[in-house]
Amino acid sequence: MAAGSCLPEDMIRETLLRLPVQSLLRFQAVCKRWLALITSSNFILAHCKHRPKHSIMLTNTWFGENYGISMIEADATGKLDHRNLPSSPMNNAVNCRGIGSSNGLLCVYVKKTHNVDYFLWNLATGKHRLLLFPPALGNYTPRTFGFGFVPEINDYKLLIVDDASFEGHLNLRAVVYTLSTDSWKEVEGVTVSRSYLGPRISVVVQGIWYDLIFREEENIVQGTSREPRKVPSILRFDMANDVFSKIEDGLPYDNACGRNMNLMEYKELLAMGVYRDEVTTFELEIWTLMKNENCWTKLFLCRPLPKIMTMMPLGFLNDKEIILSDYSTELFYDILQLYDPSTQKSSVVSTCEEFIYFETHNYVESLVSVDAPGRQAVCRCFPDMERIKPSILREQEKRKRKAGIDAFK
Amino acid sequence: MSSSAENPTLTTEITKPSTEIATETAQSAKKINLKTSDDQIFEVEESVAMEFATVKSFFEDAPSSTDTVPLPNVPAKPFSQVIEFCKEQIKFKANPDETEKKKSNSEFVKEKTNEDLVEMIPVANYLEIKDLLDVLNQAVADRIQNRSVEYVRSFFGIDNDFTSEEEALLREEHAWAFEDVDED
Repeated sequence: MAAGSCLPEDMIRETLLRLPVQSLLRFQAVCKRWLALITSSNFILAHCKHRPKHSIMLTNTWFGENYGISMIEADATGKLDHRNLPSSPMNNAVNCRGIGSSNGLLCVYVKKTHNVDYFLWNLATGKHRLLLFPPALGNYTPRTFGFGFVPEINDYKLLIVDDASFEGHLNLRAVVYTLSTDSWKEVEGVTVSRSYLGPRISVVVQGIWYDLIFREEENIVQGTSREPRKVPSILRFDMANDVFSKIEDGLPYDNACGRNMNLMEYKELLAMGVYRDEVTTFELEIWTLMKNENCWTKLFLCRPLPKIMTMMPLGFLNDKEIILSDYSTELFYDILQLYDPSTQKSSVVSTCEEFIYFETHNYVESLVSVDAPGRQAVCRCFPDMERIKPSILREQEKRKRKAGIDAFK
Repeated sequence: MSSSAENPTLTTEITKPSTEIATETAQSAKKINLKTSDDQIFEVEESVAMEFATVKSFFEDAPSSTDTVPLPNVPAKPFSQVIEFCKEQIKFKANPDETEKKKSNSEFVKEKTNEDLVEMIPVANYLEIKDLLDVLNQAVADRIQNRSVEYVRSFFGIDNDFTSEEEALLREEHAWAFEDVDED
C-alpha cells in the first residue's frame, strides 16, 4: 500500500499549500480531485498567504525599449533577479509603469504612440492578458492609478485617475475596472481646491487606494517670501464602494518636501516614509496609519543614513527591511540599499545599471488567473469538472435524491 | 520533572493486557497511560502527554480520572515517533532557541521514511499537535516538490482518473512545469 493512501483531503491540502507554483501546475495532472483542489479560488487565495513576500520593480535600459522586472527576494541575498516583460503587450511601447501587484498579479501601464494599454501579468504562471479600455469611456490620460485585491468583495480592481486640473485646483475623474466581471465603469470624481498630485506612485492597501496630494502655502521667513511651503494630505479611494475621500488631519509631517515622502505598505497597513534632509540631520522616519485611520504611529527612526540628497524610501521587503534608492549624480544610476531598522544597518543590493522607476511592489508567486472567472481555461477543458463538488454538496444531493425516491414509493 | 538520568527511556511500552493497570499509575502522579488503537499501552510523562491537545482536554473534562486514556485513532508505530518528537519539543519550551529547534526538527524528519511521515500526519492531527503537523506537512512538501506526477501518485496511493486526452491537455498547457523534475 502506498504511503499516503490514508491521508484525509484536508491534510493533503495543507501539504499542497506549501508548494511553489511550478509544482502545483504539474500536480494538477495527478488526479481530478487534486485538479479541483488546486484550481479552487479558496485554495489559490490561501496559497498566496503561504508564499514568501518578495519585492519587484520595473526597470528599463538607459536607451529604452528593453523593459524588465527586477526582483529582490525575501531572503535578501542582495541579488537582483531580472526578467523581461512579456513581449506582445509591450510592442511599440514608448513608456511603461507598474501600477500595482497583488496576490501574484502585476498590472502594467503601457504608453504607446497613439494610445494607452493596460495588461495583467502573472509572473509565476507566465500568463498575461490585455485589458481592453472601452472607447465609449472617451480619452483618459492617466495621471495616477492603483491595482489591488479588495478583500471586502473578494475581487481585483484597477483604478485609473485622469487629472484635468484648472487654475491650480485639482480636478480628478476616474474609471474602475473589475476583474470578476471583466468590465469598466466611470465613477464619481473629486475636486480639491488649490492642490496638486504628488510625483510618487500611489499604493493600495487592503482594498483602499491612497495617494499624496499637496497644497502650496505662502512661506514668509523674517519678512521675506521664500519658496512656498508644500502641505501634504492623502487622497483615498475605497475600492469596495468606489468612493473618493480625503485624510487631511493628523499627518505626521506637515512641512514636507514632497520629493522625499512616499507611501508604502507595511503589514497590511498604510505606511509613510519621510526623509528629512535638513541641514544637520539625515534621517528617515516611518509612520503607519492605524486600522481605524484616525491616528499615525511612528514605527522607526532610521539613522544614521548616508548624506545623500536624493534618498528615497521605496517600500518594505517582506515587511522587514526598507528598500532605499539613492540616485548617484556621479554614476547616473540608482543604487538600491536595504536598511534593516532592527539592526540599523544598511546593505547595498547589487547596483542596477538600468533605470529604475521610483516604485517597488510587494510580490508573492501565485496561481491567480489573469482571466475573469467566466473565461478560465480549466473549466473549458473539462466540462465534467462540475462533477467534482465539495463533499457537503454531494451529501445534500444524495439526500435530495433519496427523498425523491422515497416520494415515488 | 524527574531527572532524565534517573529515567533514560521515558516511553516504556507495556505489552501486558490493557485492563487493570490503575495501580501502576498511582505510584507516580507524573505518568499517564495512553492506549493505542492496536491495544498497546504507553506510559508517558505528564508533561509530554499535555503536548497532545486531545489528551489535555480529556483531563480538563475529567480532572480526577486515573484511567488509561484510549486513543482509538492512533496506531502504536507512528505514536512512538510522535512521542519522540514531543520529548524533543519540551526541551525547547524551557529554553527557547529557534535555530536549535529548527535543526532538531529537520533532523527528526530526515531519518524518517516517506511512510513514517505520512503515518504520523493523521496521528498529529488527531492529537492536535500543531507544531508537529507543520513540520510533517512541510517535510512531505519538500519531498514531493521536484518530483514527477507518477512519483506523487504512488507516494499518495492515488489512481489516475484522467483520460489520456485530458492528461495530455493538462501537460501541454503548462509544459514548462513538467521540465527539470528529479528522477523517481
